[in-house]
Amino acid sequence: MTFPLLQHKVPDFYDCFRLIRETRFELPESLAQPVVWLSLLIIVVSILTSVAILLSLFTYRFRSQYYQQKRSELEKSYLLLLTGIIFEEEDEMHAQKKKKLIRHFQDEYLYKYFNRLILRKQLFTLFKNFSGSAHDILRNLYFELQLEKDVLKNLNSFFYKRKIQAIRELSLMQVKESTPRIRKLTTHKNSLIRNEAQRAMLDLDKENPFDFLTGNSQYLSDWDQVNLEITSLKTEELNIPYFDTWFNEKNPSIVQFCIKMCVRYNQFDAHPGLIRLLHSDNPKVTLEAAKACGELMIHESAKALIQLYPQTNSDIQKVILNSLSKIGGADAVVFLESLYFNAPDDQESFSAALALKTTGLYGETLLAKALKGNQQRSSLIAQHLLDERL
Amino acid sequence: MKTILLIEDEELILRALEFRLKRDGYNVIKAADGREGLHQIETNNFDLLITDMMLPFNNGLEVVGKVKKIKGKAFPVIVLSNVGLENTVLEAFKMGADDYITKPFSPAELSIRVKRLLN
Repeated sequence: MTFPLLQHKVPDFYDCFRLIRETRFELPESLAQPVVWLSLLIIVVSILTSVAILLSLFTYRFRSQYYQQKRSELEKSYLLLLTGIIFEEEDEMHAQKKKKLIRHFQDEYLYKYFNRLILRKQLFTLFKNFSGSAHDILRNLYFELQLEKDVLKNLNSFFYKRKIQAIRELSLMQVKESTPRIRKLTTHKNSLIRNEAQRAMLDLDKENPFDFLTGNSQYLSDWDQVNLEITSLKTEELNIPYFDTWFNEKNPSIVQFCIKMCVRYNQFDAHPGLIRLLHSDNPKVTLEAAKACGELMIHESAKALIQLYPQTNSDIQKVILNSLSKIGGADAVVFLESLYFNAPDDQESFSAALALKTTGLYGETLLAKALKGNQQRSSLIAQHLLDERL
Repeated sequence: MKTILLIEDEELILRALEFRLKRDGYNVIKAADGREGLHQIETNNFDLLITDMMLPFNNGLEVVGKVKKIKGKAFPVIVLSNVGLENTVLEAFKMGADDYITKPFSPAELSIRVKRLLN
């Protein structure tokens, strides 16, 4: 290897430029050969990879165009079948025509998975949008064409989206055969699959819709809880259980959900369990139980709430005051009154006064008296709370 | 023959309803979104409007407002919607809708409501 630049002592700019141009980096012969081969190999591999990528892109594009075209053709044909079946009058002639039509579609189209998939999607869309006799006709057609078999296979799919779609379809179509398999998915490690399966159980097992709560150790997030609550309200002919059955579950999120459901369905009989849960080790459960005592106006819980007040955190304390204001009664009012006048903290005193005001006439009279009283803090709070402009 | 303008973004539902209404003896003009619907309102004559609430570009309420402005307050309008919330229903009636149908609905029921409004 030669570096002519080093031979000059003070090279000027043009010398440098010329010398750089003339410089040759020559590898020893032993190394030169493998480097040339390696470079060639890299070039060949790069060209082949580029060609492969281009080919796969073209194939993908061609395939998607083909399926798109096929899809729109199929959709047109299926629309004739579906509208013909849904909207034509039910008579003897129609029954025969319908059978013939279904046989024709079975022979011509439904031997391929892709064709069945398109029909399933169309049927599903119509099923979601139409009710009444059209609903029953579509469901019968779904079973007559045995479309549920493909969906049942999708329950084992590796892809979670396909699994969720299958659960949704099976529950909407009321495929009872799928119930045990979907029940197993209610404890799935993927929260999306789990929640979908739990909601599906409300549709599929209307006698024992919430059985999946028993022994379920998976976390039931707030979002899951809201979804389940909404689904239970929307589902018709659902057998609503006594939710205090699950108050002894080890999973706090399940207990929390059951407390909320007790409130939702006004299950006043759950009050012994709710009072017990006020002393739970889990603060979220305690908070939910305290809130429920107020919502259900459980007078029996007033003493327990008052006892809990000094031992708990500020979030639960606020909920307790709010619940006591709803429950009312002598115990609650005496406690709130004492807190209003004697609490060391101003905020606490204010919350107690606010709760007192909510209890009704007695509370308002007390605040009116405090307004004219000697205690400056109580008077200011009363002035604020009784101000009608606020 | 009476003409109905049908605006629905779900193509399958649009075509299914078109089939049903044609079978009932009506002439049907279709639109797949709010913008197309507004264009049809301005350019065509029709006797009844059936529109979905959730539409791309211009929603169902805008369409109802427009048709009432052009054709007059007495012009019959049926609104289809996935939302059955009280506020949404009241809003549709405030805009001048004559009927509000929540999905899923029975096609036979729609037929009867259409017949009632057109007679």
